[in-house]
Amino acid sequence: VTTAFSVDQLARELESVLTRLDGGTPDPDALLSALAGLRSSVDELRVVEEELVRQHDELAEAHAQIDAERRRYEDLFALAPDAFLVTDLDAKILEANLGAEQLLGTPRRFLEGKPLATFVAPAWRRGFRTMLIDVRRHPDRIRTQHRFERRGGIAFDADVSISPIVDRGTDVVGLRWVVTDVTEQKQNEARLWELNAELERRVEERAVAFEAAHAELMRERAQFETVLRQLPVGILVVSPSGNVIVRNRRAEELLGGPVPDSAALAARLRDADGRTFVDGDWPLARALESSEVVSGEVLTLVRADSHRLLLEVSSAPITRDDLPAGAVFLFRDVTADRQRDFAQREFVVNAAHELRTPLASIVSAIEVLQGGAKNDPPTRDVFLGHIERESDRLVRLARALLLLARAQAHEEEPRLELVPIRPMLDELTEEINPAAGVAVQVACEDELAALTSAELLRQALSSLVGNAGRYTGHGSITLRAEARNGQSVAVEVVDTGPGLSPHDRELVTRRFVRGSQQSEGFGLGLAIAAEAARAAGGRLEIDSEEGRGTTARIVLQLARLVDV
Amino acid sequence: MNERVLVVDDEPALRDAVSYSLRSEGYEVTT
Repeated sequence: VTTAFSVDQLARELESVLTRLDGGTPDPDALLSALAGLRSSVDELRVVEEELVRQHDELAEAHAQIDAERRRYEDLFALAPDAFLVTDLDAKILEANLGAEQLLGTPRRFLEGKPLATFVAPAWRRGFRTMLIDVRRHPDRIRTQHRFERRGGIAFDADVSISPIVDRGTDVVGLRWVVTDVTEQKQNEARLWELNAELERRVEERAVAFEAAHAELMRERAQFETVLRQLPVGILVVSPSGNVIVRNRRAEELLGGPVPDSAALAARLRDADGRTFVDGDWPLARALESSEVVSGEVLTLVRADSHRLLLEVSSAPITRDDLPAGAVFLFRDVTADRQRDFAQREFVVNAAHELRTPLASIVSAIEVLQGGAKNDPPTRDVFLGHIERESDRLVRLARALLLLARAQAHEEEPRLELVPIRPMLDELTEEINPAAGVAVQVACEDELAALTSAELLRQALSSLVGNAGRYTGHGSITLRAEARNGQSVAVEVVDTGPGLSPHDRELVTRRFVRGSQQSEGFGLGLAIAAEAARAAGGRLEIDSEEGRGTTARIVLQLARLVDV
Repeated sequence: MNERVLVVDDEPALRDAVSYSLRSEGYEVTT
């Protein structure tokens, strides 16, 4: 603007000078003044010209910068790995970069002018066109996915970003596209899905297998627990530190009180000589500390209630993965076994004594006879009589021992049956051969019965009735039976014989109830009765008062006969 | 006079046997 103004001004001044010169003789002063004016204008013009040159240089520099920048973007456009495309609104390709060339498998010169839709997989073209319509209606950035096909029909999935090209504010004149092949990504995704599904399937399989194993384990555990509970053996399992972690019902019954750990149990036990154990010396501790297996040691347990039991104990270490994991302690109450063993030994001693006496009598009588008495008829008859009586005694003893052996054999499995009492008592009266003037009576309800073994009960009663008949010289013998407490039945043989002295009665009681060595002189009759009664499911009791008589009683399990 | 012996035993057979033997040896026996 400044330049234009200065040139106009110079032109006007030059015109006015020329006009003045054109009018005739120039006035030299006026001419000078005009030339001076021109000169000053030319000077001004030179300043303006310099300014113009400077501005031009600046513009050229700016242009060079823009050009460099444009080339940089052009390079970016051309060489970027993604496909860049510029299309018109119908997606006809106007420009394409190298990435597009590679992605679509088509040289750039064939791309330009071609509709992008021709590179969309046929099944996807309808969707592609719908999208184009949407874009024209609502020009906005869009990010979507389409399946394309490069030349040669190779399909690939691509991520597509579309942004509208806006000209002068509002008119949408074209579209820019960025197309990225996501096939590999898709494949990875698909692979990931597969792996995921595989993983889920495996987890499921494992879960099923685990549940089956768990169910199996629970079933085994239930079996194990049942066995453990039902076993007639006490079982304790202790941890490596000695705490009791498993105990069965029998263990609780036998121990009779809380036994929290190995040390508490050790304190209750005594060895075969009745001594307490020092640390680490008893079976469970040996199993725990030195992995020793102990089998069948007999120890005494002193319970909290001072009751003593003989226990046969076994113990063994438990290992898991070759490491100590505690120990198991098994124990069985052998008190009754041992008492029975003891009683049987005593019985044999007594039986031997009983046999020795008649044998000694017979041997003596034979010696006397051989020593000359055989030639003296009256003396000979006396000693032959002795031999006969003692032989009878031996025969009775032998039979009694046989019966007893049978009774004890039955003890293992007493076969109990419903036995009416009255008929048996009536039969037994036939066996009695009472002394003159001794009355024999039966007192029993007809329907009274017991759960017992008929044979054994009869043997026991027969023995008692035999004693009563032998020793009762006057009065009566009564066979009596009655129910007691609705639970048991007492069958009694009551005599009015000489009775037992308190001392004898004590001997009888000790001999057959607890086992005593001081029972010499007593016959085996009561022993047979006691054993047979026990084998028949009952027990023998003796009440006796010296000079007034004896009551022998067998107590059995009650039953009643009911008429149907 | 012969010496007297008292024989005591609860088994009659033994008592008789011992008594007989003692009498044979010349003792007077009481049972």
